[in-house]
Amino acid sequence: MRRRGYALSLVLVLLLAGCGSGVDYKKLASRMSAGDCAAATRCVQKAEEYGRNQQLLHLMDAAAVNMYCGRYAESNDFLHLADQYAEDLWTKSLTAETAAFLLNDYTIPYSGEDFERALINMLSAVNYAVLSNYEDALVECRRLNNKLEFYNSKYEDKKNAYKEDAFGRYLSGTIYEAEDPGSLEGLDNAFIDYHKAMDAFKDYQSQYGTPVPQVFLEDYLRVAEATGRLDEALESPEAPVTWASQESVREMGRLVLIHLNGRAPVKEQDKVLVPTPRGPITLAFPRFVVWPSACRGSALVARSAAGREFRAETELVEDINAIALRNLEDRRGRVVLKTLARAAAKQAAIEGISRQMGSREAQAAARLGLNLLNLVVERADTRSWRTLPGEIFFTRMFVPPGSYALRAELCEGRSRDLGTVRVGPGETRFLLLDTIF
Amino acid sequence: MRKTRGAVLLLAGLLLAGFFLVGLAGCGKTVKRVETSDVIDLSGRWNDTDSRLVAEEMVQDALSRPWLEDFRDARGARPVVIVGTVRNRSTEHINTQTFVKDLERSLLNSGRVDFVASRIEREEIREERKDQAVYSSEETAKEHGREIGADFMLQGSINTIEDREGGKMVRFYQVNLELVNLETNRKAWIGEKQIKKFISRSRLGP
Repeated sequence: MRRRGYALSLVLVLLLAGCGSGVDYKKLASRMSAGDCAAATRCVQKAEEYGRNQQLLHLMDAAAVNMYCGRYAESNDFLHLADQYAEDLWTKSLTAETAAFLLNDYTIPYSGEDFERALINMLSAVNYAVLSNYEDALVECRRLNNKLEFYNSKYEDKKNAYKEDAFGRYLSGTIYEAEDPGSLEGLDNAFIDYHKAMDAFKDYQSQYGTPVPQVFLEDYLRVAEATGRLDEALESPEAPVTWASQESVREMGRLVLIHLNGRAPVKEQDKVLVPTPRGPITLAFPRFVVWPSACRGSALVARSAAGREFRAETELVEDINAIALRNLEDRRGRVVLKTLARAAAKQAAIEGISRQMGSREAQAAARLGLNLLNLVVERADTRSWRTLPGEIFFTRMFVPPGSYALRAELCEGRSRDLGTVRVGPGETRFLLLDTIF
Repeated sequence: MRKTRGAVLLLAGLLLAGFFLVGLAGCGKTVKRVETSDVIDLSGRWNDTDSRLVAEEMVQDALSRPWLEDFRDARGARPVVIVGTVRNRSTEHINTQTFVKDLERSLLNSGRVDFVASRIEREEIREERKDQAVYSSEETAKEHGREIGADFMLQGSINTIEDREGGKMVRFYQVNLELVNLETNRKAWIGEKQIKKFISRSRLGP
């Protein structure tokens, strides 16, 4: 009787071992692509639809949808909550995860991949920049840098490839310039960030195959020259570029376009059978699958009141797809032992329970049943931030002060109206474009 | 065998604990009124107490320095001070406006300096004067060009340094303030105040 009780409780626990998020991402995508922000927001606003262990995804999705719908302040409210919550969960995850150890990761709250937690700050910095709140944008950039530094200090010899965010540094430098136009302090601060961005972009080139953006090199060399550090900057073995001097752009306005493009990668399950003395055991681990974007890149076109047109092509500054894939691979290397240990512990439990069944047939049946159950339960944690973009494109242009009608040219002859902005001498305007859904 | 039972019991126990936790999540909240002067540290972030204490201490330090007496001896009047920008150079979102207000209050309450409205406040007051010039009687309308110019400007920044290990963190705040003579650009006083906080994280929940 008691034995049955054990078996029953195990079955019950296995069956209840976590369910994924109940949010319909297909519906959300169709609402977003139709431009129906009210309906899209309704898809992600109910925390209870996500389930208790997916609260971080709720905050992340709500932040992203609000951002794409132009509600930057609301987006930031969600991002700040997500930032705090994810950090708490991550701190917790450093301690024992008994339930997850015995069952699967769905039994504990999703705390996000490292790159996802870093992108919380990145998106928040972009929101603040678009709102022209540079001081708070810089707070987010600093948080992003500190976070990555801290994660990598924890991993000792198994470090992430993603240890510095190149675009985050580039953005930070751009914001320092925007905050204090032309001041030496602003340029000094910008140079430090650009210098770190240079190293990080080179890493991106070797890790993910992303070329160092030309527009970045121009900014880097311009600011290096303005702060008397050109020798330092020219040591970089990059193709020589020509750049506009700081003197020539001092009285110009600057238009910056941040283009979020394509869908974030989605996690799928990888199952492998590992032979053990007790028979084969199932190991499940997630892997990211990329949805390549058919339409990539864009151009910013600014038309002055006098009818003069300025045009700048965007360049890839952050390949989130590549970062995600590599980041998860790095994590797999770190947790493979834990996954193996979990599989072995479960196998031992199944074996033990089966032996308690009376007859040999009953034992075999129990073993088969529990193994089948375990096959179902041994699930890879395929939760992820589904509303992220897959890549970030970027450009900036210096234009004479004045009023401009802006549009973004996309592929296949399509274009998107970005409204009208007025930009004064030395002023910067950050613009956001998304072609995610 | 015993291990197996243990494992099963543990699993069942965990499940029960899970339900128990879910059940607890719906408990009612309690609200207690506290004094605004009470020191309550919830998150380890910069808070109203830090803002108030730093402002009071730094202003006290600034007013105890020779520049104040020197100015009074030279001009025979109290110096007029304006609080400029306090930059947030930290890693958290600090409302520097409340800190600026704390600085202004401490300066004003000291009774040793005069104080003029900041740039944003002045704009509103000027708007009102323009309005008065049109709509108020001549006896009560305030004149233009009678504003008092400040002698010194107080400006500075708040910076942080963080050091973390696991769930523990030491956060170090450094507030730098400078008092600049607006006529000569000479720095009359430079002040620095540091706060160190130790934060141990165990809280869980959004």
